[in-house]
Amino acid sequence: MNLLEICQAIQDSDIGMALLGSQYLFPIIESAHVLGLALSVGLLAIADLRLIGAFMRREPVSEVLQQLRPWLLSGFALMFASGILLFWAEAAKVYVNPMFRVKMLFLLFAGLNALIFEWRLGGKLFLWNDRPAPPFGAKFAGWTSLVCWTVVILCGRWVAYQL
Amino acid sequence: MQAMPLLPLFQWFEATAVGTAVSKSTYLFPSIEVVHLLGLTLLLGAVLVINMRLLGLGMRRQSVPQVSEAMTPLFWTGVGTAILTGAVLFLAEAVKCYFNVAFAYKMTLLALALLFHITIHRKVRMSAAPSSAAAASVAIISLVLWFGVGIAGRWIGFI
Repeated sequence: MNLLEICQAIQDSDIGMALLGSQYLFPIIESAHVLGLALSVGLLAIADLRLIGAFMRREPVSEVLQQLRPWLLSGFALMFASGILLFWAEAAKVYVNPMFRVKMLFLLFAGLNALIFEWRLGGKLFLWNDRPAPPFGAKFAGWTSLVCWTVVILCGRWVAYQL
Repeated sequence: MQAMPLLPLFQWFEATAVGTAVSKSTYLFPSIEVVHLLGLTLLLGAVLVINMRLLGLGMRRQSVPQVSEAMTPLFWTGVGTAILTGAVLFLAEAVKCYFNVAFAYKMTLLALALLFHITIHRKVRMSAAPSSAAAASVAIISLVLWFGVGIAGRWIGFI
């Protein structure tokens, strides 16, 4: 079984068919997925702006990151949950969509960027915590995050135009 | 019964140079819509942070006016981006919007949300020590109004 056949099986499953066929469920999940952007990318963008030194420069970096973290993580949980349900309903359709593939690629980049930031800089945060402008590595991570998520949103909207 | 003959006005909007250019092009509408979404993300993100602070759920180490002041440029950048791109999207499909009930809800909620933000909400978030009841109620009203704008906006496409 190749990936496309697996996606087709997912789409044709009872749950997939029920999701796509329901009059209200699909729009509600899709709305949750779009408005969840505020909680996930919206809050992350605020954290990234602090990392690149463009915002709340008088507040320690850890302060801003830690206070936003539980909220943006729940935002991403909402995004993944609603995204998986949307995928379930249209798995084979989106699998062949090039924009969907670019979106997944940039999701991966965004995730790796966050992990590398945590590994390389997270533990040494105390060294530059109070500086208005963080070191190059942190700024780089902030910019990479902003760019990756912008591309994810761009491709995400475009997926629907190609269905 | 129609109180005002608005349909010709909406038809005129759609016939403007900007309206026809966007509706004729394959890529302009989706491209502008993406920027609209980015504006919305920033706007709702800023609204969430201010209101979370008012509810005492986050950013508690900073005072309400401090958080509010920090969010103000992000909020207005988001609002400006969303309204500017929204106006262009509207011109491209003004007649569809005229017949779309979700669009009417969205515009009403947007007007209320903006009005509330620069009046009562502003008064509470700028005061040094608002009562927690006042802070919580303006926060909830603001969240309902702004997310209402978002939900109604998404619903335009479902009708």
